[in-house]
Amino acid sequence: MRRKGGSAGNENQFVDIWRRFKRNKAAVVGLVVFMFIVLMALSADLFFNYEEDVIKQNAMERFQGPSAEHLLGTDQYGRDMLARIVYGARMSLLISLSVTVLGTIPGLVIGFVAGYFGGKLDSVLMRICDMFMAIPALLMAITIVAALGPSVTNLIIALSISGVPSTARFTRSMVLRLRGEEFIESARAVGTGDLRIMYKHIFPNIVSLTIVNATLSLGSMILASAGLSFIGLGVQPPTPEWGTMLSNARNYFTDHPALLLLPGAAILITVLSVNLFGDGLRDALDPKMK
Amino acid sequence: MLKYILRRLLIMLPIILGIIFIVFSILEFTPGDPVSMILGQDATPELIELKREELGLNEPFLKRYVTYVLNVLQGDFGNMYASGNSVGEAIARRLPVTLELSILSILLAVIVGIPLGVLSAVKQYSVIDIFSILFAMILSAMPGFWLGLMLILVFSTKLGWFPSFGVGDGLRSFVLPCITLSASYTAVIVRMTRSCMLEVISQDYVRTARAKGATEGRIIGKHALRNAMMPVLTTVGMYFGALMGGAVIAETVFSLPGLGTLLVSGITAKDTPTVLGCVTVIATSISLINLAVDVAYAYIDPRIKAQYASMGLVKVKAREQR
Amino acid sequence: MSERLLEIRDLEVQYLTMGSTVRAVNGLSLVLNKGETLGVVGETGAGKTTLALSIMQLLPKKIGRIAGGSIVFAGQSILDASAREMRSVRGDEIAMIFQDPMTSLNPVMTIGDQVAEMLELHSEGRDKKEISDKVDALLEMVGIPAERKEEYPHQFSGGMRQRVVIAIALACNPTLLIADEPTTALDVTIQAQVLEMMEDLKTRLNTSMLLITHDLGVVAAMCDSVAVMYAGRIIEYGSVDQIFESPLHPYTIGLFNAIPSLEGKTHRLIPIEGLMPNPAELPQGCSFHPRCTKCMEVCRHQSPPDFDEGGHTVACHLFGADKEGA
Repeated sequence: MRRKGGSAGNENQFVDIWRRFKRNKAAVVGLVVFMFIVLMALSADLFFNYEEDVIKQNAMERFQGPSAEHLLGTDQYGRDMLARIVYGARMSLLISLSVTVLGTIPGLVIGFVAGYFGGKLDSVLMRICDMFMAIPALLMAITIVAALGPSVTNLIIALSISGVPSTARFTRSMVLRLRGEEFIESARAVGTGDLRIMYKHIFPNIVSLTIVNATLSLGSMILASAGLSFIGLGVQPPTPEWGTMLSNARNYFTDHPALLLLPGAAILITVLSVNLFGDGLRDALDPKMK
Repeated sequence: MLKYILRRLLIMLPIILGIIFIVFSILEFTPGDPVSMILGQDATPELIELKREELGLNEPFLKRYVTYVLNVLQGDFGNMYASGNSVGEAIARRLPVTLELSILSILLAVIVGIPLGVLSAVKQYSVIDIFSILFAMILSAMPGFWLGLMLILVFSTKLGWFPSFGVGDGLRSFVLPCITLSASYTAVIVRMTRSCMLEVISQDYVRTARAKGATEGRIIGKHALRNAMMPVLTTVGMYFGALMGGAVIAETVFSLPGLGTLLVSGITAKDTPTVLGCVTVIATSISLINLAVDVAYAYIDPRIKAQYASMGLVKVKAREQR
Repeated sequence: MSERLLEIRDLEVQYLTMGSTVRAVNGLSLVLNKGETLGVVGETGAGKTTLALSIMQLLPKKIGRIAGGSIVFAGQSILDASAREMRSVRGDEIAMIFQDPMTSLNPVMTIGDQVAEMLELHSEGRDKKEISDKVDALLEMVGIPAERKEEYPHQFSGGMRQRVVIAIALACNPTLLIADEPTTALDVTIQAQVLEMMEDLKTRLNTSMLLITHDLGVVAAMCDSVAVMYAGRIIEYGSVDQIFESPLHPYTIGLFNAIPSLEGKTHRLIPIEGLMPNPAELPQGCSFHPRCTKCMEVCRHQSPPDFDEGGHTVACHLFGADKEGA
């Protein structure tokens, strides 16, 4: 913990991490692909007209194959597949990113408080986490969405809540481990206050791991939101979302496999790129992990 | 050992009561009235009031919670709002399907995942290693329901080898659902086994075995595998919950009459007794599986057995620390 | 002249890591006679363990590689032996005791099974009963009651575990025992017990021993001859008397000055300045020259040859013909 200017040390650390990250080719590919998907989702309006291409049904153009006008063909209502997939990316990323942020922050706070102060408070918080964790996250989310009614907002709320307990447990275990470390003991020995120890010594040490964990959970959140939409508890048609698109394709896919392949491939590629990026990030931080 | 199991069962009880409480509260304090759903929009206020009285919904929240718990302890899960059928019976009828599905899926995941992970570690950086890493990566990035639909497309519609829905065809009905459900689980097991084996192989006691002149097969099979199985087993247990969540989706894709589909139908109808019953049974089975994993530990690792025997609670405490 | 058991000539061992080649052993030569105990002394990183693993052919796969030289054991070249032949040599003829008893036993096997495995692998004993009797005898021999053979490593203390490791190593009556810092991880009082036991067993079983250590006290107590290792090479070799009475190499002298002595007046300890060179970037010439107080011009450019005087060998430009030549 020898730091002179604070920021200089941090910069070095990031340069170091980036250097290690760059060596992992798969992770770099993951990052590039993911950035491409994000850019595509952000710039969707430049290429498509939401009302015209994504929502409006066109009975004359059902189930078309790829053409110059519709690069990936059309769906069962004659809507452009590419446009729907691109807007679907926007929806998936919106949901999964908000869930990751909204689920991580409360979990971080709870885990921090439980781990740092320990005692009765810790036991109570952890018992509650145990209860939540005994219900599978997906079932929990299903129950909450069902109770609140299916909508994008409720889907985000449900998935966020179901992610809180595991983040809390993870944070707590890290705090517990750090609390026993000698540099914390020595900070306490020279009379540093609780808040300062938390902010100055513990928080910086867990923040990187938390980011890695959040990145790694991003992929599973994309999968979960697609799954919930698939069983009808998420994004409602005609709003394009990959899970919803697959669910709607169920009656047609045997004759028109493209309706099944395209949205599924979109999910697979997105999750794969996020996971590769997350794994690379974790490995780049590895020296601190073990 | 027995004392330890009993102790764990005792700890389980309050957790399950808490789970029931959580689900009870979610269903209670969210908008949407089950009675108006049962009776439809045309029901008169008098009729609704009468039905509420009949279902006991006018009692205070806590009293209903306590009554429900007491009934469950006697094996009574109540009746469905809409049909009046016994929830307990419906669960009993559908539980075997879900159990068969999840147990077969775990077996499949273990049978495929562990050997692949071991091979991958033993032949690190070989073609087989690269293949299994890619295999695991793709499986874990694939949505289960999509895999299920693709399997239906290829193996039911095109090839006609396996049925695409229901359980009418015995074990054959379970082939596609099991592949669907076990996919992400297999990925986790492959990765976990690989990394644990790599770690164990570099341990001193493996070098000792080599110094004894043991063959590679014996070193892997007898010395490394058993030590590497500990964390793998933990993972198998930990992901059982996720598997039960995945079962809901797999059952939906293949229209299997299991707990998952019962739960989804109960949720959409706001049928509180059905939802509560399903969640309780699922949560209990997850807790039981975790207990079974901990007991299995003791048979693999003598250090843990000694710990259980001496002070039953230590392990539980140790887990909390993690 | 007594019979040669192990003869190593010009051994070169390299580790390939992340694009750089680490030269862990550089032209090492040594000879071990039957029934003799040779102490190999040196600082951490001198290549002592690499030497031991090379003799066992247990260098880490893919990374470690023997780049040159020869190892001849009982008249046969170990480097030319097939994997199968090596397996029958390991444990049966050459056995090894590892540094850390806490980690070198399999935590999920009973100690009895771990001793028995050695016997089974080298078919010492016809049936279960005979093997089991032998296990009992071996455990008793190292001072562990035979009833405890059903217990697991975690139920034993470090000293007791090292006894188990020794029992395993001696199970098949090996002709050569390689002990890699066998007592470093133990408490001082236990160290003495274990050493005494090893000395006793070695004499009884007439085993030759290669004792790797950084502890000169252990060497004085156990060894017949000593090889001092520095940066992957033996820089001085001689009988215990020769080395302890009249060390020649500045490094060896430095080692003796760096340990406190109970006898005689307390004088200041003189540490050797600097650190062992990074084996990936060995200095030119004599690898000790950057730390040597008697460094000469020639030392910077030319690696010193061995100079032999009545069985006392030293690799230093201060001695031998070089002195005049330089």
